Amino acid sequence: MLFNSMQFVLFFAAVVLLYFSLPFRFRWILLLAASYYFYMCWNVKYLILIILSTLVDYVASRCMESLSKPKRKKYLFASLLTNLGLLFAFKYFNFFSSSLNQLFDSLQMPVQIPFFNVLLPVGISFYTFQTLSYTIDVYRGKIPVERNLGIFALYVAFFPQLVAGPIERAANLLPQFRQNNLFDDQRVVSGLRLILWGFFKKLVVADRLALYVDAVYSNTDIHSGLTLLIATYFFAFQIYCDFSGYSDIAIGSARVLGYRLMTNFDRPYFSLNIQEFWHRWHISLSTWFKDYLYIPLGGSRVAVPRMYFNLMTVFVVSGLWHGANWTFVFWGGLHGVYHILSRLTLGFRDRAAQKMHFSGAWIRFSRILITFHLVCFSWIYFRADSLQSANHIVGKIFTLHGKGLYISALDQFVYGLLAIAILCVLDGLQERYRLTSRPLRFPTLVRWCGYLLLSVIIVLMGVFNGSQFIYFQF
Amino acid sequence: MQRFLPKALLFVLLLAGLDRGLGAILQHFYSKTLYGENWPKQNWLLSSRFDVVILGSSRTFRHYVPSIIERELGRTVFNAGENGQYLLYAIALGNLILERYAPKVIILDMLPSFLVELPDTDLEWDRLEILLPYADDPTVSDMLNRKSRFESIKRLSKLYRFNSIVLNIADNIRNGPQDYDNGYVSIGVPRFRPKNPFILDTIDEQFIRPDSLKRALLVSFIKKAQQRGATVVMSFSPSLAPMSGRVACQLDAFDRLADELDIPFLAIRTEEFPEFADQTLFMDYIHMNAQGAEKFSAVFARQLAEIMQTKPKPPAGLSLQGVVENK
Repeated sequence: MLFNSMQFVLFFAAVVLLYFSLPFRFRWILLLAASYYFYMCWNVKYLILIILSTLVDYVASRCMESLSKPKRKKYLFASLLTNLGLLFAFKYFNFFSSSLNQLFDSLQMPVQIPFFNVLLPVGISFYTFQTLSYTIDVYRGKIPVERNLGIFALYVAFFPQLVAGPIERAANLLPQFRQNNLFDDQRVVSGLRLILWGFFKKLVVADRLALYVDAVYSNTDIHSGLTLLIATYFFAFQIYCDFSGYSDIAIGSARVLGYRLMTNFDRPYFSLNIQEFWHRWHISLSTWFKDYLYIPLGGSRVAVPRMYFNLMTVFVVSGLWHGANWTFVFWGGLHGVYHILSRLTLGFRDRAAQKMHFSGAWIRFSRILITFHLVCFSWIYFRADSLQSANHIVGKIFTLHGKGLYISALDQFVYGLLAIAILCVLDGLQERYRLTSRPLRFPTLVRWCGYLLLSVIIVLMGVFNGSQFIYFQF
Repeated sequence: MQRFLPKALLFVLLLAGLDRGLGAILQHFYSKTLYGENWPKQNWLLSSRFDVVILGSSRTFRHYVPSIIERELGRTVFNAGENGQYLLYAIALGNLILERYAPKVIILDMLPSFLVELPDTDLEWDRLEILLPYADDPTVSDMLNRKSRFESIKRLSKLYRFNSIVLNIADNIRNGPQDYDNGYVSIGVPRFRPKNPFILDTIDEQFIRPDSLKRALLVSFIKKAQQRGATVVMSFSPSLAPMSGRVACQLDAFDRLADELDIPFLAIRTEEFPEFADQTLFMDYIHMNAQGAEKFSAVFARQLAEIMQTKPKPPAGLSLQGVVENK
């Protein structure tokens, strides 16, 4: 069941009505049943994986409860092995098989590792990381053990964020399931507003731009450098709106029910440098990697070369998390390199800016522009089918190979540009008010007109053929 | 809750009012549109009457020149083929026409993939959205409802019917009607590009499955047209794509269907008409250019004239079976 489907709208309306009609003690049962139903709409069989993951982590955490930290290790190990084992089997086994088979071929070794013919379970990377964070936090003694299996199962499978995040921490979400949420007008309106904005991002921006991007990236041979450049810019907005749109709908849906999920995107394309970009892009994942990989590796409290190694490790693993393909590994590695270079050149860049007597606004604008282009460059590797294809695209863009700009239908192109313009204006306004630390408030009449206009734009300019969210594949 | 519900109700009412108001305005402008670049032609087709209507895909659109066929038959002809459309669109549009009048002849230009499940099963249904402005018509709404059980809810919105076409409406009205030949647009003689094989040849053999729903809809449409007094002719135009076993098998199936329904099947294949095995007549493997279209239309019009003079059965040598037997 996709968020951008009529099925979800009806499902959510029914859940909200039932939720606020039921006594508090039955609500978690309703939410758990709704979450499992939500997941079963994709594939009934894969529900078994979520239940298995839930049971293993529940048992492991209960076993760890009364033990001292050193004795907890084996249960943590069992949990890690099960969760990462499932993730490896379903997501990475075929990638490693094909990579090793290629290696054996090149070494002329007569070895063939078989392939595992299965579909990738939707959202497996998200709920695996979420449940792992719980077990690790219990192991570290940071959070108390959840003794109610039903509530714990709800934490793993809570439907608004089950298939594409935000990857919630137990410390934030679990206690909320024990709170009696009353119907709060302001909170519900704020949730619905976020859902509306999410629909705009997904249906009007992401899916509209996808029509152009898919057409160009599936035939890179015949398109000019200029077309590939435009398609890459479009993809930057497509992936941002696709994923942040999903997050907005997820956070908004949870908010209507009374739950606070963490912010996942904070207008990342306004970042001044790569470090800031990663503080504003997929925040729930970057903080997960910081807490459960970067800091355990030593973080930045180690010698500088080791710190750089830690950074590269985190980014390469993050790339691999996004997909079982060398393109994703390269994308992650590229961001690691950006990160290291950014740290190394920070002083030099500051001095250069001072010498050139640029005003603060110009420096700010140029930094945003440079960061955006660095990110766009990395998106080429993220979107391309293979490293060869990505290199081919990069070559064409940098030499502006070929002539002309591909426009399949002018109206589709104009819709795409209009959608980006609306997004930039609204995101820009919010960014401006964030910098001035003033809340963005409009008179009621203006707000209502805005909501009505946004609804009309969604109906008239949205793409309604039920396309998937990109991040479901991760 | 007490404050929220009245506000929510007011918002829904305002939205519904806006939807109806803007929807009515767009409906008004839509009804004034005629065929133009990147603009579906059904509004033009349905606002006039034609003796011969040719339904089908982009191949239909590119291959049948109405003025040439009109000269041969002495009857008005409209090319209703549409880029990116398949059988479901042809049936839905055909039903829309039959609701208004019965043309003397309806030609169904068949693609080999018309009666099989496409790899993307939703694609053909999704593309029926082109008929959303006619959603009040029961035959169209019946087809749209088959896509999913939630379609009828979406169509409660009047604005949704004009989703993604507002700019086209404005452009069409601004530029006015253009010089098109009853639905056919000449694309000149572009250079041949070796792309676009038949979809059927791109699908893995084991995944090719007959689509019983589409077959049932087609049979029902043909019978309905016959009841209204229209002569239905199935046709197949030349292609440069080598005749694969899969395509030949589907053409056999069309021939059997034509026999079953007692209608002619005019299959003008490159194998039997070698003058069409010429790259200068094509823009890619399956689409002819203007030169090819004119040559084909002349041949097709003569064969059609013969059929209309004789009666439903095709002249010997034209159907797939007939050609093989003749040789």
